Amino acid sequence: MNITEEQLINDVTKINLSGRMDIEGVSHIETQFADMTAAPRKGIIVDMSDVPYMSSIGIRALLINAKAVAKRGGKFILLNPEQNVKNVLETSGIDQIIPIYSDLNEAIAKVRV
Amino acid sequence: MVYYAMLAKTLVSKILHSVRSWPAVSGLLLLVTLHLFGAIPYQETLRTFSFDLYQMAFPRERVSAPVVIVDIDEESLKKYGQWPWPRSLVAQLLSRLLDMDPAAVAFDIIMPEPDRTSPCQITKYMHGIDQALVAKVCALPGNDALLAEEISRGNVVLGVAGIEQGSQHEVRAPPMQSIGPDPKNLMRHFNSALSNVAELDAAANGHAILSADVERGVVRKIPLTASVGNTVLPALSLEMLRLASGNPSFIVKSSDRGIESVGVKDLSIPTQADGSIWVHFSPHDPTRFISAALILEGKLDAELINRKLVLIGFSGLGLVDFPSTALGERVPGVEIHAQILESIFDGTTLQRPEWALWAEAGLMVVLGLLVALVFPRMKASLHVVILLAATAALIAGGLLIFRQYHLLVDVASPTLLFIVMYGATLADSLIREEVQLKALEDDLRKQREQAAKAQGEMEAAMRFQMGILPNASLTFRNEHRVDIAAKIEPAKMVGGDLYDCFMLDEHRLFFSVGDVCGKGIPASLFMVISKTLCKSVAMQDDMQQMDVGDIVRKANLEISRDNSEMLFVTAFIGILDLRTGVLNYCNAGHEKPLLAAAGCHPKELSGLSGPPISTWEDFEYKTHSYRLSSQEFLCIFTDGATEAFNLQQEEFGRPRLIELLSDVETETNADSIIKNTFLFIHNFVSGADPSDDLTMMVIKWKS
Repeated sequence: MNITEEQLINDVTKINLSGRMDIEGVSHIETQFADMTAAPRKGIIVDMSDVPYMSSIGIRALLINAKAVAKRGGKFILLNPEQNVKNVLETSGIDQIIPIYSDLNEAIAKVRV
Repeated sequence: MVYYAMLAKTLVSKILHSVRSWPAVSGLLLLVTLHLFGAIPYQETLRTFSFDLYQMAFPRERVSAPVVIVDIDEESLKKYGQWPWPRSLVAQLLSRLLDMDPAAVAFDIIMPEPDRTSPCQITKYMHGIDQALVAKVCALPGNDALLAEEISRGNVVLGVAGIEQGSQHEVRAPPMQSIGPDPKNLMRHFNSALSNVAELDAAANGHAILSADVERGVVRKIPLTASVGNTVLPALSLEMLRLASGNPSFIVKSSDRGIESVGVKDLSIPTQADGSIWVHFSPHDPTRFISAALILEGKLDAELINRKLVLIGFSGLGLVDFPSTALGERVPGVEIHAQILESIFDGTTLQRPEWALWAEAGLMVVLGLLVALVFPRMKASLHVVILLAATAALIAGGLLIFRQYHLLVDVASPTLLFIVMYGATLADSLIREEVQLKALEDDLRKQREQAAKAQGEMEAAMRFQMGILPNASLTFRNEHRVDIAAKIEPAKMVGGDLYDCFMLDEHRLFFSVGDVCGKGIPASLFMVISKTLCKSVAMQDDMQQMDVGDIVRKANLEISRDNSEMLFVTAFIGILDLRTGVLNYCNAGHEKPLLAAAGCHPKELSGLSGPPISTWEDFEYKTHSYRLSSQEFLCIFTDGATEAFNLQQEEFGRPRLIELLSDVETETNADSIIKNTFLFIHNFVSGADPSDDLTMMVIKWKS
């Protein structure tokens, strides 16, 4: 798995994930993921468009970072997951705690609030 | 030069740094030092044995035949009587020989006593002999006188035998010319000697010493010069050569390291430091010998004696000892003198050079260091090859040097050292390896014990974990209003799936199925905590009136509390009212259960209440409702069923499960459905390792 970040306008960080979110993939990126979501960042958008597979370990990785951001009063949302990944997120009810958006501008707007 | 200095430096630092080699290297240095001092026990024996082997491998080939042995053999003794012969007979023999003009004649016989068969001597034993006859007889020349007369006619050498003890004895000797320091103290010394009758000695113009070094019956060395008392004598062969070449004196050349060579003018024979030489042996050859009888009978061709060096000696048994040669043959002593003469003539005398000891020491050091320092860094199979090659090379080298240059170099000692050192290091390695092996075996045994222990503990943990799960069919055996069964097959010994079912009160059945994110011990521990907390929350008094959503909310709070590992559990939790068949349920991120009925396509129980438990501390879980019919089987499972993989990496999948459940029969029960489903999944997976825990619970409300 690979992970990169971009700074968007107004302190919004966009993190781009690519590759399968299984045990091996997650282990490659977890430290960097935690660094990128660390203080003082408050607005995080995770671009999921390049992730073909999601496992419970992947869900756990998203949750850990989402919780950490939420504790500091920030916002953490997922952008544009593939359909099968979206299904997994919806079945497991994760979308009820981490919002999913398909439009970047909409996502930016939600994160800034 | 610089290169060698650096090489030496590397070698020294290698020695200093390899602690392990220290005993080997110091042992080597000790051995080499002992070698240089000749202090190694049995080394001399080994050395002479190896020199014997050289001689046996390449015995000397006779090139010239300058020597003839006139043999007083069995034939001669038969014809002319037992020994001692009257000296007049010996005189006759000598006379015949001298008539044939030899280069020199030597007696390998000592005649220490006057001849008692002389005419005048015999008269003493004749009782009543006429005095006039006595006078006439005594006027005849004595036998010794006759022999002395013949001796003085030509180049005749008489010999003495050195005796260690005894008082100082004067012997005749030819003049010696010494070059360098006085050799008298450098050579073999005898206090006295067994010599011939004075009359005979006086007549001879050649005087020699007959001694040889006999060691355990074997002659290997012979002194070419030795001293008796204060007189220095040449050996028989040397003296013969002096007379034959017409030289007035013999030469001994020495340095402060010992005697270097002996000889006469134009002939120099290199010797060992004590003036002796190693005899270069050829095999026994009967053609060297001529029977004395033939000469006395005058039946010999003069050519055979003309200009030859003639030795007179015995070969008859009982008259003389037969020493052994290096070739292992027993030959008459006289033949050894003949062989020495031949080898001097041919220039094939042997020598063990001064530098030999040092060369051998050098070899030992090289080979020893090879074993101590280089071998440990090499593969063992290479060792054997090098060992064999080096041994062969050493032996070949020794033999070659012997054959080409007539030099005796001891290769047996370095070879033996090489082999012994290799053996020692081998033994050392083996012992070390044994110790190592034992340590490894101990380690392995400990690990096995630990693993067994861990296994035992895992088995205990599994039993505990399975033990806290209720046996659904058994518990509800007597509850006729419901048919319930549940089963978990953990992927590893302990699992992360759970289920629970118990009566909340008289009429309400509480059940749950959960799946902890993960496998193995952490998941199993979390599973136990979740199940326990969930039940305890549900059983609280004030929960009686609350709905499932609230229970889950509260349970979520409790379970989320100490969750540093960030584990979470998906769950399907429900309360079934057995009076009405109304099911209130809560789905926290769990696989949606299926409703199966005979003759119907399975339906999905679609309500979703929220994310998995323990993902979000404060979450309002929603309660959903469904009314069960008495035909319907509620099938709750975890993703271990849908995500069971076979060897081709295909997953069982939800569609297959739905298809399987569409085949339920009216008369079936919860237990059978579970058994059947599991069987199907096992067949599908066949052979692949299970990737996740397999869990299923089936509930049928019977109105």
